[in-house]
Amino acid sequence: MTCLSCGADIVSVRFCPHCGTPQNGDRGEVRKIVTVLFCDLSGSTEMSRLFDPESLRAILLRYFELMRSCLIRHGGTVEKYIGDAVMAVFGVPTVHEDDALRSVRAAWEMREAIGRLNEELVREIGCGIAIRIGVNTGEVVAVDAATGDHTFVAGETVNMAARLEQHATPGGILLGAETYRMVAGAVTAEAVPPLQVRGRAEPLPAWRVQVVRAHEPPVRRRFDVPLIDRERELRQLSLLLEGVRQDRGCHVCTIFGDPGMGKSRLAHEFVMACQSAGAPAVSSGCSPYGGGTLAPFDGVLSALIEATGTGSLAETFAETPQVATALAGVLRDGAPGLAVDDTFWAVREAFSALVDDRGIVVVLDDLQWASPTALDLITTLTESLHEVAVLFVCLARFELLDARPQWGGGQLGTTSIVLRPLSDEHAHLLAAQLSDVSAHLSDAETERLVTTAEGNPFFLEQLMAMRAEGHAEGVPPSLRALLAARLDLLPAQHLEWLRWAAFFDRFVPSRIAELAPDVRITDADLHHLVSRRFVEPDGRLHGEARYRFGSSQIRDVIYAALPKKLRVERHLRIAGWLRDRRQSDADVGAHLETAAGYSAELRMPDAASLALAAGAHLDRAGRTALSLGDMYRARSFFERALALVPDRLDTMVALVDVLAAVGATESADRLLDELEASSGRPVPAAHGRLQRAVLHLAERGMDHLVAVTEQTLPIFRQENDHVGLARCWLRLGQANQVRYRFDEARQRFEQALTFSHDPTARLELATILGGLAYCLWQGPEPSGAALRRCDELVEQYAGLSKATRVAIESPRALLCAMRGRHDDARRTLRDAARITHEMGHVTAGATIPVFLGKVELLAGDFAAAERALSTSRAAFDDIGDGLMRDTATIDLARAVYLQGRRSEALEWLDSCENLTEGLFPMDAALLASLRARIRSEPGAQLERALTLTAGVPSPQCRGTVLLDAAHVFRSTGRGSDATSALRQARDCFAAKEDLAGLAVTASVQARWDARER
Amino acid sequence: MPVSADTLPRLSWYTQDRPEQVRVSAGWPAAPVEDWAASGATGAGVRVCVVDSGVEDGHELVGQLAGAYSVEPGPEGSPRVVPDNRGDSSGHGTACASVIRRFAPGCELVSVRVLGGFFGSSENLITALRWVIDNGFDVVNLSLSTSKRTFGTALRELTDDAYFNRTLIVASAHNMKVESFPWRFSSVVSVGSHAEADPWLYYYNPAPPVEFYAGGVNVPVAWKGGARTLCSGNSFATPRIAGICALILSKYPELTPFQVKTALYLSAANVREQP
Repeated sequence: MTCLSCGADIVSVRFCPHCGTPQNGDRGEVRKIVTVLFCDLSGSTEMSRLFDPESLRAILLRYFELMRSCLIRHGGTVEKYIGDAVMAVFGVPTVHEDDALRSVRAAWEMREAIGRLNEELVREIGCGIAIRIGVNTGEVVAVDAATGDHTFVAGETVNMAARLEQHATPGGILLGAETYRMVAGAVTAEAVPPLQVRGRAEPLPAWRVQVVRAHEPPVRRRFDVPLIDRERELRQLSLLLEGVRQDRGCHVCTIFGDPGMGKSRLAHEFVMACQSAGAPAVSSGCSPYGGGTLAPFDGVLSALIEATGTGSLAETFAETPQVATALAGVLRDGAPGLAVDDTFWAVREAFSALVDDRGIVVVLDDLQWASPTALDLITTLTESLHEVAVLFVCLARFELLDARPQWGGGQLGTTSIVLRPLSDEHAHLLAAQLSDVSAHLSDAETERLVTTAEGNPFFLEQLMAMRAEGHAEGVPPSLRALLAARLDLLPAQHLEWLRWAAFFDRFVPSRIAELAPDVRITDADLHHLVSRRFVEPDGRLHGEARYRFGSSQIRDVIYAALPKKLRVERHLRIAGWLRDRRQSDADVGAHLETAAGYSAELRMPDAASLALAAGAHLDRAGRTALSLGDMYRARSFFERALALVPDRLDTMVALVDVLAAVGATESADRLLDELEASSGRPVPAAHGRLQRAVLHLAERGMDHLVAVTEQTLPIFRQENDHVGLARCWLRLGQANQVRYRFDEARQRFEQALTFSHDPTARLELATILGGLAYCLWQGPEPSGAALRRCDELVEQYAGLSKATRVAIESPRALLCAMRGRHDDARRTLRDAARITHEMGHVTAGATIPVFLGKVELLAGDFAAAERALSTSRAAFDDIGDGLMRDTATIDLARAVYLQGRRSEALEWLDSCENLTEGLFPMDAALLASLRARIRSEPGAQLERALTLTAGVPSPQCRGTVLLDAAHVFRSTGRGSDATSALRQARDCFAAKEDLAGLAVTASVQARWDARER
Repeated sequence: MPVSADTLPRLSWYTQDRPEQVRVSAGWPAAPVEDWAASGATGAGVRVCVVDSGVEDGHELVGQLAGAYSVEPGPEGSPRVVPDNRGDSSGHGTACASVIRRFAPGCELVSVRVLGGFFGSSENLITALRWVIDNGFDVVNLSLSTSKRTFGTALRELTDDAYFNRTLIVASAHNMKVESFPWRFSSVVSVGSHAEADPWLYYYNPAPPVEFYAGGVNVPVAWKGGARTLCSGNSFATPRIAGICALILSKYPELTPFQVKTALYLSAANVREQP
């Protein structure tokens, strides 16, 4: 174990004896994928009956020793002996990517060892023994590699391994599904009927091992599909081969790439191409364990000797026996038999003697596992082989550069190729070829797998294979093993740092330092993590470099390795840290939510209180999203809050609002049913009824809404529920507003405002303020007083949210314009337009230019008005809101007419087909009066307009219609009617203190007076 | 050798444009007329088989099936076709069946399931095709393919059998530029997509292997669970052509696959008489 602080080697202690840093005992546990092997003697009861205890003990000791040595040779850890059984674990203390294969190879060897032991036993005592072996791979909780001094593992994986062993036949080896999946490339096995295991609903699938093949990769690679997107590299290799053959020299080309990037596949393809072109090629590889110092060369030399057809080493080198002697050791077990120099000389001689004019391609796979001596040999050969054409194609992970930073450079006759991830397009192509029969639709699932694989062909193969077997989610065990083994090679403090980073999408080192002060890494460490692609830079945050994981799988594997208890603790610590720094409820809530989930799985006592806390934060996050007008985010927060705390009534009420706002009426209705069913609580039930009436306003009508409001108002009043009261007054205000009772509406809105200080009423607040400001503008309140009230509202509420600000500011701009403050009005609306654009609120975005058009009409800039109103009209057309489009069109027609384009203005008016008199008397009146004015027709249309506006307490609307009427009368020779209408119009504008309107009436009057004279 | 999008032979899996106009050479017996082939037909009397993920029997857009089967492992492990009532495993087969039904409301529809979800095995596909040919179906809709070359020969022999036994296989081209089967064979009617909205619009492709294009973008289809949706892909262009083939065969039951393909060619929107 290494001290996390100073890096000194220490033995399991609470404080580092070198620097005194406390060593956190909890971080010793990890979840990891291991392979568990159980081996038991078959028929041992029978044996104990047959043999004297002394003989039996002697036999058992030999058996145990044999088994132990097989297990240890393959890297297994013998965890315990139970009676006659041995239990071993592969993957503790350190995970290897090929743990499953190691265990199966060990099992195979154990069986063979028993065979040999039996030969002796039969000779000695006349009978033999038989063993049964079960092997299973899966997740266990174990002690971390860095801290572990014992190997106790626990989990269902262990029990299942024992069950497999019990179901094996004497002499048989049974593999569990995951183990089989991870070794299928190197093992022939047959499926046996799934085992019925007590305490397990699903039967346990099992495979009986028939043959374990040496020198085969554990996972079957899909070399049957065409190679994709590596033509450039293949051409490069072909050119190199051409070069060595022409120059009769030696060249080393190293192909670097992350595991799975297709190094072996590329080499395989190149070898096939060479062979079909008649160029000899041999392949060999290094293994992460076992094998001699010159391991890859034993395979190379055997292949070379075999190719000569002479058979044995001695015959091949009959004339140079010293070469044969020197090579004998290498060929036996990859270990040099003589001094290294002599062996190197012998290998060179062998190449010179055995390689003919055609030259040879030598593929050396997994060079990151080669010994320094083997690497030296390659270098020596490159420098010293002359007159022989040899192309070494070395395949290596980047780890090779840790051992040999200069590898592939700084030497003549060397080239490096780095294999990059496949592009998305090529990955899709690969995905298409990896499936057997597939339907021809564009499916999101393949899209997801391609994204997850991040251009790594092996990952994609594994993900596709996993899906084909019906497992849709998660990292395939083969990948998890590969990544876990890479991670286990990291220094402890790097790994621990990554284990904190895994809690974030993106992370800055200073944050991790604050959260986990005992985990320190230097810039150089970070650089190492980046160079090995565990993490990658991701811009900057507050001037500090920010990072993210090199791939989502790395993060997933790191996170999955953390015990759930530790995940709960860290999520809570992060949530607390974020809360202390006043970070968003969304972030705090998300960490608490995850912690609550795991603590529920672990049946921890505080699971319920965690869920409550998480629910509260998510509920607040939802309200924040609401106040920002982000309905979809709000919906997701509320739904998550309810998933944690299903009886949070206030969240249900808020969610109904959101569902109604996004048009999910059916979901809203279902939730309302639940709300109303909570009959013991009158307030939420009342909220439910009120919201249902709002939800179904279109079908059930305003009268129904008013009736429900009047029923629920006393309930809210009695319970002093401010949100409910705010909602009731808001609805009553709206009921008056749509009937043009602006003063009454205003009073209701003001009333609503007094109850809307609860943040829960934020959604209503914008609506209330919008309604209030609209009534102040459209109603009889003189513009001076109305503007003062608007200014108060701005002062008090505009800072609360964008939505409230826009709601007040737009009508306020028109009041400004009425008072001649046109620039004020324009600036306000420009701001409002920017804000609505930022909010992505399409309807509000289309509405702002309507206000701007009205301001420009008041300001007398008709061309500007036309521009604004055309924009708005087009926008409403896009949205499909015909009513608002027509409302904008009436003003557009006025702007066009006032620029002297009569027929065009009439065409615009004729296009307004949605405005019916019954529903929208004010708009209908403005349309009719403008049409009458353009056509100079004092007929029924004009009369209708005058009648419609007579009862409406909107002085400026009435004034506009009267002004139109005055023009019509004047142009049809009804001078006194015209004068009277103009006077009435002036009175209306005066009452509203509409200076712009007054200026217009004054200038008309002046024009008429001038003509009279 | 390696395959990439660049080095593949130039194949047209879908078209963005209207294919070039094809002029019928002088000497053809009859002028090609769009209406001639299918107009007035309902598909009555034609037996259509949807080899896919299963079909939801009784879906509003599909109606009653005349039979539903699945390929399952037999007693010795080799696959065989057995009656099945588990419906659709994904929705894909139901979607294809609904498109055929829309074109040929009177045809008889039978489902054979070879896909679990959107994927399946070549062995099962071959078993299903053998069964379909043995049972003398008139039209087979195959909105799928296998990318396994090892099954190429077996599939080619089967599609040839179908062709000479008057079973017309309408097979969808792959959506990606991938070599897959059996749509690549000349004995089937292969279908790619165009993006135009008209469901009846189809083109003959003068640059095969894809021989016809039908609308394959946002096709309204039925889905599993009584649902309806819009889907894109050659999967949904194919049943349009299969439906039209059913119409042609219900009007002219004596036509061989060769003749139906010729009728499709002559009635394609871009094939016109020599001026």
